[in-house]
Amino acid sequence: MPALLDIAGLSVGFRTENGLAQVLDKVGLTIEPGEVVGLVGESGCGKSTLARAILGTLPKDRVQAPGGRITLDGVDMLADHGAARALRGTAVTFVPQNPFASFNPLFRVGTQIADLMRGRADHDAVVAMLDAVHLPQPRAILPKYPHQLSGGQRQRLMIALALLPRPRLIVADEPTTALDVTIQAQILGLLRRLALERGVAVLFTTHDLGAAWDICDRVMVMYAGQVAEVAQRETFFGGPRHPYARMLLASLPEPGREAAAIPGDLPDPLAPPPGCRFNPRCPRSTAICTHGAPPLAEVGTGHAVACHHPWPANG
Amino acid sequence: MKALAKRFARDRIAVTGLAILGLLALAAILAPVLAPYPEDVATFHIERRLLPPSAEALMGTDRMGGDIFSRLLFGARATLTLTTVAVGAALLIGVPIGLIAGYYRNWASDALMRVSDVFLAVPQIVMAIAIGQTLGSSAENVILALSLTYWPFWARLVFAETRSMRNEIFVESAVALGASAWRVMVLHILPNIASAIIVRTAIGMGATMLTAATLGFLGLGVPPPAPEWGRMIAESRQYLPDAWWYSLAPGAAIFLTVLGFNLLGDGLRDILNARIRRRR
Amino acid sequence: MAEPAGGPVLAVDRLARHFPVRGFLNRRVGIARVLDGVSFSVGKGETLGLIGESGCGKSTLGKVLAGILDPDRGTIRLGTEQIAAPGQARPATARARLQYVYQDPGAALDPRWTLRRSLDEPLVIHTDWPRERRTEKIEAIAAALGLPRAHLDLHPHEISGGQLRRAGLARTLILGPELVVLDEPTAGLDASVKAAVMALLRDLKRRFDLTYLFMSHDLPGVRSACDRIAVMYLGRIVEIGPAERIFTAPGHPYTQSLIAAVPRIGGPRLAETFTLRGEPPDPSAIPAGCRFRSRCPLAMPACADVEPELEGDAGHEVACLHRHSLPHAAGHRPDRP
Repeated sequence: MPALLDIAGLSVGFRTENGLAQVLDKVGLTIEPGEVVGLVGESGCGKSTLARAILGTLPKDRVQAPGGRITLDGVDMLADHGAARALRGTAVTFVPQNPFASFNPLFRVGTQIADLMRGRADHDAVVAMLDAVHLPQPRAILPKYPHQLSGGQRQRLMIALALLPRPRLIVADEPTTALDVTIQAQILGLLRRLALERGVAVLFTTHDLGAAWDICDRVMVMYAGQVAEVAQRETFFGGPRHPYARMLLASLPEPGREAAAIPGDLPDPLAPPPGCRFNPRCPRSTAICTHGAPPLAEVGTGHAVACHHPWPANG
Repeated sequence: MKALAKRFARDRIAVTGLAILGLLALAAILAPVLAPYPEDVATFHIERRLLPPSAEALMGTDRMGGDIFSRLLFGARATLTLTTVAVGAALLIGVPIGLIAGYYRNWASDALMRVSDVFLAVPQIVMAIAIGQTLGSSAENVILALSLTYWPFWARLVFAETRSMRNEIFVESAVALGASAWRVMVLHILPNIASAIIVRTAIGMGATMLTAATLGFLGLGVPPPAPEWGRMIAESRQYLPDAWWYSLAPGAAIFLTVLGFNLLGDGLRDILNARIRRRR
Repeated sequence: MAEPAGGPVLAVDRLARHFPVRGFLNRRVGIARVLDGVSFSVGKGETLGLIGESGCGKSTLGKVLAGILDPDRGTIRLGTEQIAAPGQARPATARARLQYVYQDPGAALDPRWTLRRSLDEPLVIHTDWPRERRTEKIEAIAAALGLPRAHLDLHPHEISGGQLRRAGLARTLILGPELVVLDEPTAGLDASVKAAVMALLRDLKRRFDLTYLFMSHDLPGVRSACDRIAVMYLGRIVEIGPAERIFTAPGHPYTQSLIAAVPRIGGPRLAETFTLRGEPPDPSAIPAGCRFRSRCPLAMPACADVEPELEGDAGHEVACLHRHSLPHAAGHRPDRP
């Protein structure tokens, strides 16, 4: 079965006044229909840029022609032609981190939804979806203005809007980062359940490993624009092989042990380290690590690591 | 400081404005030296009246025979002094009031702002004429009129800026540290809003100069025969269109000066705003 | 656990702060009881954690403690001295002894001032030391926080984020405070940076003999850093006790939901077994009786009549009418099978 989303060798650079920032460096990712994939990484790892590349919202004036390929259902999404544009908003939809910014504060919510769903979903379908996302009294929500809704309610609304066009893929960019922990728990649960019920694949970006554990089937970790490791959830959290992934897990506070910070700083995107970008901070790095970025190599079923010296399995 | 100067030098608009004003200031300061007929400030040569521009009188002569160019240079002094003192006085009154009203959030702040609203509602020229009628039409009274009607503008500006600064974390932190109100207002808030004030001052000088010239045109200001650009234009009216040079010279001088201030202000705004954006 | 010898460092008694709710024409149409009667104490050398979600009142509590806001009711005692009460001006010495650290400590520095000048300011305000002594102190504290001396003459925007954080902390510690209120010190930070900041705070506490009030919504972080934890909901403390007990055997239904909401790597998915529905009511329309009853799975008619007080033993107090019937030891959580 062909993958729903197929990204290969994606490289994206941003032109800045101080030079070219290579934000994504030959990134590859596949998503099967109906699966929930987590894209985990810290600031500057490129996860938001990747999301925007899929959605076609990269700022064209600042982006240097991207290398590589993004294919959704066989359609090339990097090219800005009609086929790609037809898919955006229908086959692939978006749940943003900050739902407030997606709404026009001057218009009622119902008006904005009707505008977005012109002809594609009738009023009853909208109300049914608002109900499905557990928005209390959906009909009462429609005449309200965005600022009258809470963060959790707005995010539920965004999920409803993302599901209405019956997409095949939802790109959710840090959708729960700004929410309280109990609201986050509700939203994560909701999103996963609805996606699985409707067979919608989800690409969920986050810097919160706990959230990734909770919602995803597969996890991909990125560092400074490069892919570090991809694995099934249990495999990844049970014993990651990439040194960065392992140190990332060790930096989480757990009862009984001290959280260990990762020494060093994130690299400057204008002058990233040669080869594997994690090598200056990596305890296992050697000369070969500076010569070339290690390729993403399979080390088990569905488990791939990009490292010259990965930790051994169960090491 | 050096970085600022470099940025300034790169901005052609600002440099042009500064150049114009620099020339003007020089002209005013060096008037006794530069003017070919410095005595024409006070003396008359009726036989030479209303002569067109020539080698002897670069910009022609006025109705009393005085060399317009010389009078222009000396007139720069009057106009500039008037403008600077008026704006300076308005700043000295308005900025502290704005700071205090913006810092405190009580009935007194509201009262101060309502008072400034009242003064703001009076048109400058009308006020000046009224003062001229009651107190006399001297230069001092023009300055009085201008500053009385201009200080509320600064009070409001500084009030708005102070209010928004008041919510900044570093201000709140200074208050929590136990900094006195004076310390917070003068050492923290004022330096951070200074760029807004500076930019508006440059542009405000231009506007005030125009008003001062208008008042001069109406007969308010330095008494004759001392030269003043506005009054020179008023004098020239009855001799138009024949003695065209008579109005052109002072008119061009006013135009150039106001342009200089506006350019400087625009340039400063671009430079200082970029700096603020980088800082935040 | 932390039985204070010689009295607690901080004692807060029934502290309250309300905000008017403005409506049409800016008339007062209601009151938001954001902080509504909070009492607790912090012992010397302890780290008390304060957890709760948006609207619980903890940031208002922080600001009242910091002296940025005045209380409407209640008192705050720092050691033996009462430092805050309605209408009381905060004594200058109290401002030196109790320091407040913002989420971004660097934001507390004036962007136009050099670091040196920002560090000098607390000394200028609170001491009458001569310049040499102040300079000595500034350089000592900078060294203690790992700030290179050359940085002292730079401005905030000229140094890195990590250094800026240290500079902000240096300013907090230069007067040698007894109690430091930390307001969300790790919010918005990446996981590895969080760990580094927590380690730094731990180190500073040890070296400077500090007592911490740690307000955060990062629950795993709070668990590992704090001795005791207080849980806030809608302006009041609903549970307070030793950190481990709060996490392993929470007594209050809200605490149970809060703990259950944190994803546990290796544990079952929250999916929608997490049953806490809805959101907290508006602080201007707090229901009568127990504030949590509108969402509580254990709500019963009596909960609408009485607002439960904190009661308990062995340092673990819960404000809930079901206190006696809740199983404590087994860690049973009603919303998890």
